[in-house]
Amino acid sequence: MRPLLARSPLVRRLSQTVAALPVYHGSALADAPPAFTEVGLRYTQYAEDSLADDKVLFGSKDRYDIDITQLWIEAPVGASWSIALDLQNDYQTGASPWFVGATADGNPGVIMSGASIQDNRVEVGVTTRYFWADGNAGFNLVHSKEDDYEALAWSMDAAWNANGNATTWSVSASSSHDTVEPTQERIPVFIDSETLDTHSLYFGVSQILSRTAVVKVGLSYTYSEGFLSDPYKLRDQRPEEHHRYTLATGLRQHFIRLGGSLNADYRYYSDDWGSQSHTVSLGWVQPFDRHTVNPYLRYYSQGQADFFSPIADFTSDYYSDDYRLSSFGALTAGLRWTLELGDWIAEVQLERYVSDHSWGTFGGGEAPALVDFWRGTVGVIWRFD
Amino acid sequence: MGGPARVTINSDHHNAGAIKIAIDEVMSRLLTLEARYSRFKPGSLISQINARAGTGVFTPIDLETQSLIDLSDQLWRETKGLFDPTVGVLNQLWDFRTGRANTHVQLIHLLEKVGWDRVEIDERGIRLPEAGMEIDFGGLVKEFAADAAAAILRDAECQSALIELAGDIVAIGTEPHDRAWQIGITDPQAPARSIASVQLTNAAVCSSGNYARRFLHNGKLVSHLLHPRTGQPIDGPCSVTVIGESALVAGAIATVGCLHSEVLAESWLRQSALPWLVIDKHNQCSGPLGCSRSKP
Repeated sequence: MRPLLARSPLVRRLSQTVAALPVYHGSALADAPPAFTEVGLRYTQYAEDSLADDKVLFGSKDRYDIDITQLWIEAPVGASWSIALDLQNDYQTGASPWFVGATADGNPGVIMSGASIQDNRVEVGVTTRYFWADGNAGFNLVHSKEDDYEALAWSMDAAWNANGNATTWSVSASSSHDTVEPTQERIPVFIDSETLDTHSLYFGVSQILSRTAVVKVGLSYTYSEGFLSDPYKLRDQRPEEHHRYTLATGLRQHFIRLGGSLNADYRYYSDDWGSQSHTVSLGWVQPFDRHTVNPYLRYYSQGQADFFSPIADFTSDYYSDDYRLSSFGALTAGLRWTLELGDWIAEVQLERYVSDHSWGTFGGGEAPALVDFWRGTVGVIWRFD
Repeated sequence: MGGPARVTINSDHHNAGAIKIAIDEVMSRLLTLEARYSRFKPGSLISQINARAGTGVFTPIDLETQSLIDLSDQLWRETKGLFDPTVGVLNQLWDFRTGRANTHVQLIHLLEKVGWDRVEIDERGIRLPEAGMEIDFGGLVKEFAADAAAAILRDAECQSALIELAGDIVAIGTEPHDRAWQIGITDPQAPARSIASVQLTNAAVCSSGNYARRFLHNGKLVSHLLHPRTGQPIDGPCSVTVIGESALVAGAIATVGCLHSEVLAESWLRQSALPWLVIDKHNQCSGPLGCSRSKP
C-alpha cells in the first residue's frame, strides 16, 4: 500500500515540515520511495565564446555549441522500490583547438580543427532503488553512444541513517567501459579504436549540527586505465593510468529570520598527473511563496598537469597542450528560478563561466584557448499520483 | 491537553517486560508534552513565550518546537492566514455563554494582537512583538503526542496497540486475529453515540469538531472558532474526520477543515486526497468515508 501521508502535494508539504522529528523516523516520512510519478523535460543550451583574434593562428574562431535535451520519468513501485528512466540527447557543433603553435612574436596561438564537427550523443540510463526505514540503495546502468564514442557504465550506491537520523552515511561504487573510434574528417587522427576503463569509489557522511545547520564530508577515488589522450588533438600523449582523489565538504545553513538557506561548499582535487584544484561555491536559496530563487557563485583554481605546456614538448614521454590541463582560475555566476504550481514545477537557469590564467592560485604556463561559456536551461516537471 | 487518554495494547508474554517499560515511557512522554506545550500551565514553554510578549526577549526553542512552528507556518500559508496560532487572544472578546461580543473598541484592540506573520522567529528562538499577544499550539500538540506515543510503542516492537487521545487515534497493527481496528466516529448530536465506523490498520484517524462548544449568535448556532481577521465566529462544519498515516498531519487537516465554511472545507479536504468525513450542522455526512446519514 502506498503511504497515506504522501498522496497529495498538500500532505507532502505539511509532512516535510516535521520530517526531521525522530517521532516520524521509520515512517513514510523517513526514507521512502517518491510519493509521485515524476516526469521531467529539460532543455539546455551551452554556447562557448569565440576565441579572440590574437589567440588563433588558423581556423575558425567559433567554438562548441551544444543543445542538450533531457527527459526523465521516476515512479514508485510498490511500497519499497522506485524506478527511473533517463534519456539525454546532446547535439554539438563547432570547432575545438587542434594544437598550439607559435605566433610570429613567439607567443602561443591556436590552430583550430575547423568548424566541421557535428555530433550527436544519446544516453539512456535506468536506476532502480530500494528503500527501507533507515536508508536506501540504488543500482544504475547507463549506455551512451555517439558517432565515435560508446560508453557503458554501472553504479551502486547506498545511504543509511543513524544516530536518530542526525547522521547519514553514504557509499557508492561505479565502473565504466568506454570505446573510442575517432572519425576521420578535416583533421587526421592516429588511432582506429581504443578503450578506457574507469572505476570509482565514494564514501561520505552528513551530520545535522543543529535545527538550522547540516554539514557533509565526502572522499572519492577514481582510477582510469586505457586511452586517456584526446584523439582529436595533434599533440596529446597522456599516461595510460590516472589516479584521482577528491575531498568535498559542504555546509547548509538555514536562516530562519530570512527564510533562506546558505549553501557553502569546498572541494579539493588531486591526481597523479600532478594536477590539483580548489573549488569554492556559495549559493543562496530563497523561497518566496511558490517561487524559489537560487543565485550562486563558484570559484575554481587549477594547477597544471606535469606534462602540460602551452606549446607541447615532444621530447617528453607525455605531453599535451590541452587548455583543460593548464593552470587557470575560473568564475561561475548563475541564477536558478523555480515556480511550483500545483503538480507542476517550472525552472529556468542561466549561468556564465569565465576563466583566466591570472585568476588561478597555481603557477604554470598559460594556455591560449581557455574557454568561456554561457549555459541556459528551461525545464518543466510534472508530478502525479 | 485537557482530554482523556487511553492506550490499548495486545501483547504476548515474550515482550511483556519491554511493553511495560514502554507504557511508562508513553505516560512520561505525554506528561512532558503537556507540561511543555500547555498554555494553562504557568511553567510551560508556551506560557514562557506568552509571558515574554512585548518584552523583546527571545525564548530559545529546540528541533521539536521548531518543527511544530514550521508546520504552523506552513498551515498559515496554505490557508492564507485562516489557521493562526495567535488567534486565542480573541476569545476574550466573546461571552460564549450569552453569544454576545464585547465592544468594538475591544475588537479592534484585540485584533491588533493577532497575526502569525508578526511573530519573530530566528536563530535566537521565538519572540512575540507586542504585550498581550499569545500563541497556542494546542491544535497540533495532542496529535503530535499520539504519534510520539505510537513511536515509543513501535520502538518496543509492539505489534498491536491503539492510542486514543480524545478525538485523535493512532492504530499500530491490527486487533488480534488480524482484524482491523474498528473506530467509531462521534455523532455531534449525541456525543455518546457513533455516527460512522472506520477500519484502521497502521494509520491514524483524527476528528476535529466544535459541536461541544457551539453557541447561539444572532439566532444561529455557531462555532467557538473565531476568524483571525474579523474576530467573528466561523460558520463551519460540526465535525471533520481525516485518516492519515500520522495523527499530526491528519489532525492538522481536520483542524483546518473546521475553520472553513462547509463548502470550502470539502474543497480543502479534497485537496489533501486523504479519506475524510464531514458532518454538517444538519448532522448530515459527506466525504469518502461515508456514514449512515450521508447526503443524497
